[in-house]
Order: sequence, then structure tokens, then C-alpha cells
Amino acid sequence: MTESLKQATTSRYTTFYDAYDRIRSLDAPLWLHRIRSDAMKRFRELGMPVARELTFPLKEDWIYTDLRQIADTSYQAGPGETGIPGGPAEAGLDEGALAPYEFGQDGWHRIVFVNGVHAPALSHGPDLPRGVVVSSLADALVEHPELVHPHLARYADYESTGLTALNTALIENGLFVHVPRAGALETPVHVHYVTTGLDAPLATQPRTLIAAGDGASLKVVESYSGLTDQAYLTNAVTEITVGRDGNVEHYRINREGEGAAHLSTNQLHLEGNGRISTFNMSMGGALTRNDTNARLAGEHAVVRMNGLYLVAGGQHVDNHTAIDHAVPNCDSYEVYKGILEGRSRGVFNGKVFVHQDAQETDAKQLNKNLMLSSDAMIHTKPQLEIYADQVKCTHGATVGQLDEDQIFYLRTRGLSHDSACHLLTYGFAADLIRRLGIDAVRTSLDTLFETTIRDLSTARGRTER
Amino acid sequence: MALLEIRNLRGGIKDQDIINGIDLTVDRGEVHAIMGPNGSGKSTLGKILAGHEEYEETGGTVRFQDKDLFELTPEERANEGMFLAFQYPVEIPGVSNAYFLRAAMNERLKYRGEPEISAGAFRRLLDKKMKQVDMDPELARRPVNEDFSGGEKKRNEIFHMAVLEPTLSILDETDSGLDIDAMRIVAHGINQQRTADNAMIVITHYQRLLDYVVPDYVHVMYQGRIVKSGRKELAFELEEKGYEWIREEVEAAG
Ligand SMILES: Nc1ncnc2c1ncn2[C@@H]1O[C@H](COP(=O)(O)OP(=O)(O)OP(=O)(O)O)[C@@H](O)[C@H]1O
Ligand SMILES: [Mg+2]
Repeated sequence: MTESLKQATTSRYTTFYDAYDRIRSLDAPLWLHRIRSDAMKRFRELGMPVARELTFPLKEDWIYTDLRQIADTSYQAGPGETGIPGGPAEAGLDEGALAPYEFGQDGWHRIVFVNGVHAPALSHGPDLPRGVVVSSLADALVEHPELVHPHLARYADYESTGLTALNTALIENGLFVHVPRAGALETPVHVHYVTTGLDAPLATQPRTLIAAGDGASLKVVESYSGLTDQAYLTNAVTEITVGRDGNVEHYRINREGEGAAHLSTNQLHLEGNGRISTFNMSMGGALTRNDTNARLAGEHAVVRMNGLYLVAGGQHVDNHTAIDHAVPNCDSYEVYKGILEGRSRGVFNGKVFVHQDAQETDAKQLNKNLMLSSDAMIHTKPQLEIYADQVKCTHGATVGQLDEDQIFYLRTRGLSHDSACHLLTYGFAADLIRRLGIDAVRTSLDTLFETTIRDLSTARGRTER
Repeated sequence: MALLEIRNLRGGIKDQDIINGIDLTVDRGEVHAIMGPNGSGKSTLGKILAGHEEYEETGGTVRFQDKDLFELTPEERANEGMFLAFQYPVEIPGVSNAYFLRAAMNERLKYRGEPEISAGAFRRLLDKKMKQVDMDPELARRPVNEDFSGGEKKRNEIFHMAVLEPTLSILDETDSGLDIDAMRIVAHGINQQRTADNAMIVITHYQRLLDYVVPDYVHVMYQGRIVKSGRKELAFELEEKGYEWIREEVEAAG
């Protein structure tokens, strides 16, 4: 590292260090103090992953997504006592402001965070089945520390990844869902992390912990919305664990503001016969990076990991996924589709590890990209490492444009050129949305998807003229 | 004024004419069959009429409903009442047949300045048309032509035609790839749509279809020209004798 670079980098992250000092002075269980302090120690060593400051092999994971500018930004770190307007009252938020980001279901459990601060006035839900906990993480740490302790920071690795270390060091709040053995939470939970307009760029560290016990089932929608075009940073970590025979449906929707950077780590842990289906829709933000990792730790576990990214203008979206087949007889199914317009950039990297004794693994991976502009670019790379011999592993990646013959066919039935493009773009990814398990989520994401691509094609029409 | 008037039409791909001077007049209520050997330009004629951008007209005129056809975009031609049933229908993944047809229907209504069709009215229309052409309702729900069998794709074209009720239909080998029963069903579907107000150009290699869909005129296309026209008996003659004598006649005329 050159001297000047060192100078620049040593002044980084000071607001995060201050935030840590504030948070550690708050009341918390001893074990949590320990986790935070271990994580802070690691973050001081690792910092954020900035490609040109990294060495092989970690560098490889960050070559297309440059976090240097984010690392160099001095964010206001953390809510609460630092005087950042946090509550919905200060932010001038009410039900009406959030309505466009809802899923139209009054009966759901909803927990809202505004600029990282829990907003109880906007959070509500029906009565919970016995033993089920749906609450803010901060409340859960006070009321049910014994339920949080076995899981928090047990899955997302803060030893080797700087972003997870940062989030973990600054754990303060987020969503906690716990469904005990054989329990069922039929009503979906919607956790909504909202960022509003601020004087200075804010960084939040949302932390989501979802734990389904043996035979338990639950559904969570996790959404991130930006009500501002200003720059801010979301550095989220979500841990989901499912016990034997348990079942989790998880939906993640990124509608961050135009100036936002959205970094996320999603760590899924599955015990024997457990099931997790996760769907990750990225639309917002100037820069998005999602790391979604699944560990299939018990036999006959099944993970479905789907995603859709829709980017335009100068947006950048990067999905890195990793599926770890640690034991025999597990299945993983992964489909990621991308629609790229304007000068946008996309990255998909899909790792699948099949350990030596993970026989009878069935792993399918597919990444398809539709390029709506010749200035858009995608880097896609499957990365399969297979050490067992009795396995079925397939992968595929495609990059294509709208097909002229298809456009002509639709026009001969009376559709305008724009409508034809719109319909074909819709059809490209509609199957992913059609498969979503919750009706209300499917319907609202379908509408959101449709209007978004309609806006994209209108934008294209404008630039062409 | 006839429904369609083609005068000395020439056109093709970039540097090469495939259509070399065609004259054809189609009136309302008529069915014209076009036959001719492989590669003689039948599909190219259909594509030029429908407005495929890869093909270009290099001479002549075409008037459709008294409008200059070449002034119209493909979708305007469609919304004016032209319909091309493709020799090789295209798959549209992810878009259900029903959804697509409703979009097409609404574009047409919009073009004509009429209000959109309601979901209920469209559903009833679709049910009626499915019955009319004996369409499996499952196929209406599935994405357009995706993983359809060859025959199912052809039947789907006729289904689209039934829903859109064109005034001029160009059916490009809609009979090829159909089993005997399907051919009868498709022919029945076509006949049901024959009225005194609309017209059809039926491109086919087989006289069998013309047993069911009896044409008013039969034309033979050869090297991008209509070299012979007649009544339905001409189809029998071709079936019996092949195209060799046509070639000889053309060469003799030289
Ligand atoms: N896009 C194209 N590029 C190059 N050649 C073309 C193209 N389209 C048509 N042709 C050529 O033009 C000629 C006429 O083709 P066309 O498809 O119109 O024939 P057809 O009469 O429909 O034949 P068939 O009975 O086999 O369907 C053929 O020689 C074909 O190869
Ligand atoms: Mg042909």
C-alpha cells in the first residue's frame, strides 16, 4: 500500500468506530458485548472489501463492484443518540407515505424501521400463536435473550467478511422472528427498512434474524425502501435458520432510493429435511451488492434461491450466491434473471460447493440476462466445485437481446413495437414472479415489475428519439 | 375498390429480389389459394404484406382497404384487419395466450377509438372462440406457443385469427404438420370465419385442405411470380401432375 493510500484509508470508518463506542455503552447481555467486540476487532483489521486493496482470493469476489467510494464516505453512522432524525414523527412519515410500499395486507405482522430506528407506531400485527415471537431485535434481546442467543451471529461469518463484521459490531436493531418446534406462523411478517431524506448521508446496519424450529413454518417479506434520492448506505445482514422438517419462505425486495448503496449478506442455514425458498428482487439503489449463501447442513434439505434484478441508467447490481452442499441428498435450485437497460452493470456469480461426501446432491443453477441496451453490461459466472461423484449438477448462463422475430410476430397481432418489447420483457421473467407462494406478494410484485419495465421502455423510447 | 390490390410487386432481402412482379386482386368474400414449389417466394410474399422489416418492397404498389399498405406499420396493418398466420409460429415465453390476446384485442379497440374490453366480456369471447375452433382451454392458459407441438402451434394461429376477426387473413401453410383430424378441425375453424365481408389467402402444398376450404381461385407461384391462375380444378391438376409442366410452360414462354 502506498503512503498516500494509507493516509486516506486510516481516516476511514471513524464514524463507525464512534457508533461502536456508543453502542457498547448501552445495556446488553454479556455474550452480545463479546460478539460485537470480536466483530469490531475484525472490522478494524478487514475494513470494507475494496478490490484494489485486497489480495487473491478475496479480491476475485469484488473485482466488478468497487466499494472504494463508499469506504471513503464519512457516513453518519447509527441512529438514536447521535441526533439523527430517526422516528417516523421526525421523518414526517405516516401510514400514507408507506402505502405504496405495502403488500396490501392489513392483517399481516408489520415491523417498520425508519432510518434504522424502530417505529412502533407504524408496526402492528394480529395476535401471535403460542411460543411465536415477532418483534424488534432490540425488544427480543430484552424479553427473550435465551431465544436470540443460540442464533444471532452464528451463521453469518464476521471473521472473514468485513461487511458482516461491521454490521455485527453495530448490531442494534432489526427484525427477530422465532417460531418454536412444530409451530406455524401462517400470517406473513413484513419487515420494512425505510430510509428518508437526511442532511448528511446516513449508514444503517439492519439486522434480521429468522429462526424456525424443527417442523416449524413461517413467511417473511423483508423490504428496503428509500424515500429520498440522496446518498445513503444500507449494510444489511439477514440470518435465516430452519430446523429439521421446517419450512421458511423469504422474500427480499430492494427499492432503495436513487442515490443509495445497498450491501447485504443473507445467510441461510438448513437442517435435515428443512426447506427455505428465498426470492430476491433488486430494483433500487445506485449500487447493490447481495451475498446470499446457503449451507445445507442436514440431509434431504432443499433450498430454492431465486432472484430478479431490474436496472437502468447508471445502476449497478451484483449478486453473489454460494450454496454449500455439506451432506448427502440435498437439493438446491437457483434461478436468477436480470433485465438491464441504459448504462447499467450487472454481476452474477453463483458458487456451488459439493463436498466429498455430499453424494446424491441435485444442484441446478441458471442465470439469464436480457440486455435492453447496447450500453448495458453483465458479468456472469457459474462457479461449481464438485468433490463428490454421485451428483447431478447443472448450470447455465445466457445473455440475450429481444428477438426481432418475436417482436414481428407480436406486431402482426396488432401490438405496437413498444408494447411488443414490453410484453417480451415481461415474459422473460414472469415465470419467477408467477411462482411466488404468497398471493399478495405475487400480485403486488407482478404489478411492480410490470410498471417498472413499462417505465424502462418509455425511458428507452425517449433516449432513442 | 377491391380489398387488396397488388400491382407488379417486387421485393425481397437486401440485394436480392425474391418477389419478381406479382399482380393479385382479392375481393371481400373470396378465398385465394397460392401453391407452388418450395422456395418460390410464397412466405416472402406473406411477410412483405405483413410488414416484416427484414424484407423490402422494391417496386409496385399494394393497396389494402384503399390505403397504401407500405405507409402502414405492421401493427397498423394488423389493426386495419390484416392477419398473417405464420408458417413457423414464434414462441413467446412467459406470456399466456389469453393475456396476449387481450393485449392485442385492446390495441385494436384503441386503434379504432373504441373502449377496452372488460375482463368478463373478454373471458366470454375467449370461451366462445375456443369452442369454435375446438381449442384446448389449457393451451389458452399456457405461454404463447411455448413447448406447443407443431400441430398445436398451427391450431393456435387459427385461434388467434378467430379472436381477432381479421378482414384479410394470409394463412401460410397452416395445414402442414397437422394430423388428419386436426386438419379437419382447422379447416372447419377457417370455414366458420368465412363471411361475405372478409377474405383469405391460403398458402398450401396440399390439395387436401382445399377439399375442405374450397377456394374461389388457385394461383401457382414460381420464381417469385404468379405464373398460372385458375379455379379449384387447378389444384387437382397440380396434385396429379406436380410442378414439372408448370416449369416447362414458363420456360417455353421464356
Ligand atoms: N431472410 C432471407 N435471407 C435469405 N434468403 C431468403 C430469406 N427469406 C427468403 N429467402 C429465400 O427466398 C426464397 C423464397 O423463400 P420463401 O420462404 O418465400 O419460399 P416458400 O415459397 O414459402 O417456400 P416453402 O414452400 O418451402 O415454404 C428461398 O430461396 C429462400 O431461401
Ligand atoms: Mg413458405
